[in-house]
Amino acid sequence: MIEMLLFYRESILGALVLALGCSVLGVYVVLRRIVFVGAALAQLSSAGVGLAVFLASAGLGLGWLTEELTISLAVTMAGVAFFGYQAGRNRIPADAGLGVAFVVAGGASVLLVARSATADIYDLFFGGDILLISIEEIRVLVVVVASVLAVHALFFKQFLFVSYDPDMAATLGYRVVAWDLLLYMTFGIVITLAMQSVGVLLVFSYLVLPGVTGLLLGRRLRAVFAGSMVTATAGTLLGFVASVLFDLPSGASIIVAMGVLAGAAWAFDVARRRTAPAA
Amino acid sequence: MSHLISFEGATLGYGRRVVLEGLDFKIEDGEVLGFVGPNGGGKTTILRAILDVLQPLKGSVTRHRPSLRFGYVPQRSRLDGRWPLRTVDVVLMGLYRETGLVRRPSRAHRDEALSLLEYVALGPQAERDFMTLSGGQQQRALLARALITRPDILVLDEPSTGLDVAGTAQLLRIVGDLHRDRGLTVLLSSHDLNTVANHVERVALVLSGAFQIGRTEDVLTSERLSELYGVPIDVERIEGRVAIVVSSGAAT
Repeated sequence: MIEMLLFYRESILGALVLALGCSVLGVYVVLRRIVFVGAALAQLSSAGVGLAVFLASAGLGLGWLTEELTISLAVTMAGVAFFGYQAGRNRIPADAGLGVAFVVAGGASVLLVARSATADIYDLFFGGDILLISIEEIRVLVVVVASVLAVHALFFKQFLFVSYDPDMAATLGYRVVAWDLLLYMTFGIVITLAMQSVGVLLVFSYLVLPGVTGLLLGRRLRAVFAGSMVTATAGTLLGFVASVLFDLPSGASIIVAMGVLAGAAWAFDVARRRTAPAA
Repeated sequence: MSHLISFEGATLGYGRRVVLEGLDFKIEDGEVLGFVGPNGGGKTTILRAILDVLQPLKGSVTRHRPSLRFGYVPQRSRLDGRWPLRTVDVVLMGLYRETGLVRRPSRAHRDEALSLLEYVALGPQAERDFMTLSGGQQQRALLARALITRPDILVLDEPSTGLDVAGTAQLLRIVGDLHRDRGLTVLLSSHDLNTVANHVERVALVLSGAFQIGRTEDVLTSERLSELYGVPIDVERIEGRVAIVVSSGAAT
């Protein structure tokens, strides 16, 4: 089995880098109750891929400007700007707006690929097969994810403050919209890259399941972040081992492994609360 | 008394929606001013304009000191109970701006936060999860967070909402002490007329088209309140305290 795992070492390494990055962002996604943001941005990213495929097939390619990554990033960032600016300012609840973006972007991406002559619908998803990740893609992932985590470490207190109490933050002079936009931009960058490498479903899972597990296990914010990162790492390794042992799809195995860990954390939290002395 | 803030013909609202029009009043240094009125009447909107987080649609809101510092105690219900934060960490947020772009609060800042938690009688709760505190304790912790900004003006938005009588009394006693001992200007909004009537020097009745401001005994009269709320309201004085009640004959 070790040999098999070594054979997939690039895939495992790439997945671990994404797992770490998404698990940190996922804590904000879960605590800010914007779980759909991961799904919506990932779907916008896939719509960008669909647009790139369509332009290439129609002979409208303009070099790097119309490459999948460029358009995908541009479309996702447009979504980031919209969600970041509109958060809490609209009569439509934030989750409903994200839901609209998710379904419309999903539909658009399917239509764009369906109308292209050189690709079929599945091109959208083949681009996100974790087993096909290249060493060049991993290098890019490491640089980008490390940069995003550095931004989060530097501006932790700003992201925390505008997420937890935006009114007080604004009172103290923080530009809440600008900090929200920066936070959402970090989501958009990581999600776009992750989409290219591992696909919509695994990106969404990395953004939600570790954060939920961390929240169930940790009693302090630092412990929640640590729990989220450990869950994403453990889930990725367990998922790969299961996929090798039982010849299962690796992405789905990782998702189920993280789901099992989340279920165990939930059971632990229930037991802990039942045995805790009354306050 | 000098003026700290002036509203001159100020129209307040959000986007195209006007909440309050033609506001003309001044906030004086060292006073305790209450904003009362029905829910949705615009009390929080006025506070947001005072705090400079909402710009007037028309007219002006002028701060007469360039470095005016606000200590803001928000409505507790706006805070999400899922964030696993210690009480002392919530208080330290009040110093985030002061510590610069990337630096975290220091040990000295933490000692300051603990000292303020002692002041509001929450020393033993400093390490507890903020959301496991009672409503009154949470409100006092938010007061400590407001005080750590070393404010010129303390702004409390609906501080008594969800608190029992003892919790409200303890919070307002501390606020009263701060006003008396430190000369702090206090702005207080509440839908609870009795809370405001007994703790402020001037009061503003806030309702679109019916904004009135003046001394408490001049503004909080049976006639005005009955007209504002649309039910007969009695204003009684009992042993020096004001009691505002809906008349017993009023339909409920």
